[in-house]
Order: sequence, then structure tokens, then C-alpha cells
Amino acid sequence: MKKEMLRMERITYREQGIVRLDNFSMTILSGEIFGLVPVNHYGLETLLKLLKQNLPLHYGYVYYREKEVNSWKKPINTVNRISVIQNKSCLAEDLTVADNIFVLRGGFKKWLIRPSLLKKQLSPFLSEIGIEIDADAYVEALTAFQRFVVELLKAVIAGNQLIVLKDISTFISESELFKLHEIIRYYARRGISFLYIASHFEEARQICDRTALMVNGQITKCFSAEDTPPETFPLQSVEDYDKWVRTQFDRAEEEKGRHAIFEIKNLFYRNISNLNIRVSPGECLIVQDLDDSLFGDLIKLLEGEKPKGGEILIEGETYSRKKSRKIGIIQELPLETMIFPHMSYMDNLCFSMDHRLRKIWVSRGIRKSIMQEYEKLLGEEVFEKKISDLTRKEKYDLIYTRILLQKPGVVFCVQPFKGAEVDIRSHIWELLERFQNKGIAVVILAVNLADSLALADRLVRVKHGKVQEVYDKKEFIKLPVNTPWLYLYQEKYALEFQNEKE
Amino acid sequence: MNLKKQNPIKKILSIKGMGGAITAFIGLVIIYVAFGIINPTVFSGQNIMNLLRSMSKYLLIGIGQSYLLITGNIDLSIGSVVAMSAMISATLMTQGVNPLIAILITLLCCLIVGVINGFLVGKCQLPPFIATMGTMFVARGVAYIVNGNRNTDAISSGIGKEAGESFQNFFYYGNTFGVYNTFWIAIILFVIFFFLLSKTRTGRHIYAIGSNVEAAKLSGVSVLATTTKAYLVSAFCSFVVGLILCAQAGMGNMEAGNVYEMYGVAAGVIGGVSPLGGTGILLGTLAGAAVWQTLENGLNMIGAQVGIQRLVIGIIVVVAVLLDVVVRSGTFKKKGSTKTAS
Repeated sequence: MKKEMLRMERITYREQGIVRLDNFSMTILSGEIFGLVPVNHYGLETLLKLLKQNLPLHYGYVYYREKEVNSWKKPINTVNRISVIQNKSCLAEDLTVADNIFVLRGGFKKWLIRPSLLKKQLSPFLSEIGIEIDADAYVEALTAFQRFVVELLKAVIAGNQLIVLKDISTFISESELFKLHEIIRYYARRGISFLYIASHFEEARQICDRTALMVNGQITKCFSAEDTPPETFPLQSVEDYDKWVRTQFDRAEEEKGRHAIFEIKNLFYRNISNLNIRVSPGECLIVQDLDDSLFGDLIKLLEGEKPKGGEILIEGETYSRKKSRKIGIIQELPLETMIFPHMSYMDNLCFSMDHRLRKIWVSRGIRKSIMQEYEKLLGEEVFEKKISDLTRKEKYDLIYTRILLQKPGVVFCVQPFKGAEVDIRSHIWELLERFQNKGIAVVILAVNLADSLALADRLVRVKHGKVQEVYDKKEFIKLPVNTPWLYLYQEKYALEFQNEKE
Repeated sequence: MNLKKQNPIKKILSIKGMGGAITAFIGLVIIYVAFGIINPTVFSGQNIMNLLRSMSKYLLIGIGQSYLLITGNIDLSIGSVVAMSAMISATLMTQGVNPLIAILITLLCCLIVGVINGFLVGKCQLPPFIATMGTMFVARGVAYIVNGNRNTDAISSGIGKEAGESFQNFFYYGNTFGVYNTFWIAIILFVIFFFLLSKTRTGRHIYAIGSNVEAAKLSGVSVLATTTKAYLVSAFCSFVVGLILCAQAGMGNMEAGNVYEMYGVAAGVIGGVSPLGGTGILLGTLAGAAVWQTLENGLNMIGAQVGIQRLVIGIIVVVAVLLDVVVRSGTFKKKGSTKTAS
């Protein structure tokens, strides 16, 4: 019988008087890959905090490696040797790979550091997982995938027996994810356990031995790998979302404009090599980056950098910094990247429309009329709130409405659903549709296709900075990946696809 | 709509940075009254006039530095540009150049320093501390070289006694409506730059860069242009202070404006301008400059040693910055307790 790696038993935990985890129980066995799908993010950060540190509990017990490490009866406030790997890297950027793995480790006692020795020590670890990374390379020069591997190795070498992986599919590409799954399975066979947190059930099931569903700080259901989900989409708590997707999916069949509002022609710039993309007004295009090399460069170009070759056209004219307001950009994790925390709500809202209304900062009347026009959409209270007091939904509203007021021809959204819980994801969907309804083209830059696909009219898959495949909506059924709501396309277009084949 | 019902006082207090400015004004009143009680001469009309005139230099320097602090940058070259301005204008005037032309040439030279600072920080991405430290030495070097490594003669020796006096009266000794011209110059510039910062697109861009530079870039803001504009404001203010110092002494002094950049930082942060960028209003800088000058003046009047004066001012600056950091990090917010079952 397998040993227990972690057991959280009937945990109730309060933060500032609010219950964050309510009667939460979870058991992870040794060598198991345990999936966790948080329907909303309520309690998720608290769970991660409690895994790392034994904070005083309201009720419950925590056992790690079959020893009681925390109990509501006698809080100990110690730290557990559990690693959490997520989008935000915990590595020191300016140090080498070997330094990060060996030197920045609790147990490292040597006074004199010998890089050649560290390199030698690292080599077997790398070769057993079939990965090549230079031990002397600086972390800042590594790709997202390599950083991930370094963090994983750091955890393994530090002797941590439980590793938490949070939303990893949002920052590494599909092929890298496949490689990573192999590495995870390898370590799982060696007895290391993993808690795999993913936004989608389909993703978690691809690798996990068991997958649990977390709602409002509680685990409500747990499926083993052998369990057949009772319905196409088994998670009752997100059924509404599923239904909503179906409705939207059927609705989004209207004719889109045919002429190109935005076009990239034979573009060359750093990692981009002969890239060609075009998008029409009101169209939703997904650009999937298969090797995580495109987005940074593309955003730089949209910020006004000059390409090495080729051209970017907006409304038929060459794009330059002066025309930057014709393109809206929403960076990934917009709540952190797109808000001006020290400015007022109205200043944030109107920030990028001063090219249209030059007197906006002088005239209160203009701002007042904007306020009146948008208070129905945004709510009356938000205008008086401090930015820090806004809810997540209100912040999303603010960012997307700001871009709407900017009136761009096309909006680029970098991984818009990343880090968002289910109700926020459906809200983002509505916000993106608002752009489309106004005739604004939407380009979603995504690493994985979850959530984006049902909104898309076309999908462009890019590798090595070049378009590899283009899929029209009807061809999504041919996609070689398992992604949420793919079954909708299968239901809708299977017959057509079959006929076409015959 | 809720906004219509809002209490005007609450509305004023809700302006970001207003809290710092009001605190500085309250501090100013307390300090002034306290010094006045110890030595009633502090309340005399002549002292108030002198106080306003001396404060004007710090206010102008503070305006320039505040613009940069709000963008999240700093300008260490301010003091040297002040010296450069004083030396170039004085040298030209001692050589008989028309004061107006001398002023224009000086303005051009000072603005060039502003453009260089903006380019180094905005385009070359040099840390502002290092970039402006470089231009600080360069500008001071120019101030030395311009008259062959010595202070200038009296400006009236070149442009004549009448023109020299006019120049000195206009910038320093003359008064309008019973208040020294220096103060009026500072107040007019204050109003212009206050308007620029709070009511114009450039002003919003300055705040945006200090608040979230990446978001600003994504919203189509040119970081280079906005940073350069902020450095130009700073250079312009230094230029005016240089002329004031030149008028005050009636000659050019190579050491003029020494450590003025730090006075600018102090005026800003005492008035609630955050050295971390993104917040602060020029009203606060006005209060900060007044606090600084009142402290200097008051400590002087009560006969405190120079060492004590510096010590008190230093402590106040540190406390002001500490307050800013505390407010930003929310350390004073009531921490919720994690209860355990009994």
C-alpha cells in the first residue's frame, strides 16, 4: 500500500475573520500526481500558504510524510519542505542555474563555491530527464520551460517530496507541456508527489492519477483516472458556464467583415521570421504560440519598435508609434500590468482616449458625461472607489472599457483568461464580445487554447516565429489537442467534416 | 448619481497626494507659530517677505524635482544646472551682451542638459541616478570653464549700472504689490506647472509613467518623450533659479546651487510627493518648500547652530519618506487576527 505524502484533515482556516478553507480535506499519496481544479479561486492562495507554512488553524490537522505537522490544538508555525512552482519564478535571475539549484538551498554549507564541481553534480540530474541546460547559464537567459525545469530540479535536489505546480500550461507551450508531463511522471515513479493545479478538468486529467474539484474553499468531487465522467462535461458546478459557452458558440456565427483591418506582412524581428497574419473587423483570431517565442517580440513591435523586415499595416497604412492608439493591447494578468494604481478610477478609465478628446483633462463636463454614459455599464459606486478597493471583476471592467473608449481597430489580448476563475472567465468573454460587437477585431495571443477556442473564428498556430497551421472555425475539429469545448465543434461540425472527407 | 452628492471636502481629500500636502501645510503652521512664540520677530512683515523670497528658490527647485519624482526618476544635475545658468548668464552680461539675449542663450544651454538627461534615462535606459550624476559633473564643469575657472565680475561692469540693476531688481530685489518679484516669478511658474501636471495630457502621462510604466507604454505613451519633458521642466526651473542667484549676487558664482537637488527632493517628499513615483501634487511641494524655509529661518532666528538646523531638517525628511512608505505598504492598516478554536 502506498504511503501518504500529505493529508489535510477537516481544515478550517480563517483570515481576518473570513473563512477561507471550510472543512477542507485532501490526501495525496506518495508518487501520486493529484489534480486540483479550482472552480473559483476562493481559498486557493490560502491552501498554498498552508502547504508551505503551518499557520494556526481554526480546526483540523495536517500530516506531511505521515507526521503531524500542524494541528488546531497546538499551532507550531513551522515551514514544510514543499515547493510551489508557478508563473512567477522563485529563481534569482542574475545567478547561474547551478547557483540557484545548489547554493541557494537551505542545506548548502560550503564556504567556497566551485562552479566546476556544481556543474558535475548537476549533470546526472539533467541527463536522467533528458534535458540539456548549461549549468553556467544565467537564469535570465533561460526560456520559460528551462526555468521551470530548473525550479523542478531545485525542488528535487532540495529533497522536497511534494511539489505544487500551478497553472503551468499558461506559460509553457504545448510541446513543452508534453515533455514536462514526462518529467513529472518520471519523478512520480521515484516517489515524489505532485499537486497539479489547473484551470480545466481536461488538462488535469491528461496527467493526474486523481483529480479533485475545489469550490469555495472545499473539495466537492474527486475523480480517479479510471472514473468515467458521467456527462460530456462532468463538473456540475460549472455547468452554467458550459451552457453559456454553448449559447455563445451558436450565436457567434454572424458574418464578419472581409477586408483586413490589421495585417502583418512578411515580418522579421528577433524571433519572428516571415510572419503573416491578417484580421478583419469584428473577427476573433487566436494566435497560438507553440514554442513560447512570439509574444514578447510582437508586443515590442506593437509598442512602436521598428521591424527588421516586412511591415505591419493598420487600416491599410503602415503602423508607427503615432498610430499606437489604433491598436489596443491588454497584457497577460492585466490586473497587475494594466492598471495605474495611483490614479483615480476616472483617470484610469479615460487614460487612453485623450487622442480623441483633447480637452478631456481640462473639462470636467466631458468626464462627467462619460461617467454618466458608462455608469450603467460599470456601476455607480466604482467611480468613487479607490483602485485598490475595486473587486477583480470591476478591475477587468475598467481595463476593457478603457480600451473600448480608446476605439482601436484591433485589440491584442495576451492570454486573457490566465489566472482567472470561472465566473471571471465568462465575464472576460463578454468583454471580448463587446469589442467584436463594436466592430473591433480581437487577436488573442495564447499558449494553450482553453477558453479562447469557443470565441475564435480562426486559429493560427505559430512556431519558430512563423505560421505553421491555420484553422478555420469548421476545421477546429481537426485540432490535434484535447482542449475544453472541442466537443462542441465535434458535435456541430462532425457531420460536415465527415461529408467533406468522403 | 453618487458623485453629485459627494461632500466637497471629501472630494478634495480624495485627490491623491492631497493628504500629504495638507499634512505639510498643517506642519508648516505649527512650526511657524512655534518659532513665532519663541521669537516674535518671526511674525514681522519684513521676515515674512524674506521668507517668501527665500522660499521661492526651493519652490522652483522642488517643482522640477517633483516632476521627476512623480515619474519615478530623479535629477541630480539640478544644482549644477543652477550654477551653469548663473555662470553663463553672468559671463555673457559681463561681456556686454544684452541681458535678454544672455538669458535666451542660458535657457538654451540649460534645456540641452534637460534633453540629454531625458535621452539617457528614457532612451538609453540608464538608471536616472547614474545618468544625472554624470550630467551633474558635466554641468558643473561647464560652470567652471565658462569664465576660465573663476567667478565672474559684477554684471553691471558689462551691461552698465542701469541694466544691471534692472536685471537684479527684476529677479531678486524689486517688489510688486509689496511682495518681492522672486516670489511672483515662482508663483506664476508654480501655477503654470501645476496646470500642466494636473490638467493636461502630458501631466497624466507623467503620473502614468510613475505609476505603471509598462501599462503606460501599452497605452501608447511615449516614455522617452514624457521623461524628456519632465527633465526639461526640471532644467527650466534650475535655469530660473540660476538667474535668481545671479541677480542676488550681482555676479556669477561657480559654486552656486550646491546640493540644491537635495533641497528639491526634500521639498517634494515633505509635501507628500512619493519618491517611488506615481503620486504627489505640486501643492504639496509648495508646502514642502515653505516648511523647509521656515525651519531654516526659524532655527536661525532662535539662534540654533547650523549643525542643529541640518539635523532637524534631515530627520523631518526621513520621517516624511517613512510615512510615504508606511502609507503605501499599508503597515498601519489594522491587521486581522487568525483565530483559533478555544
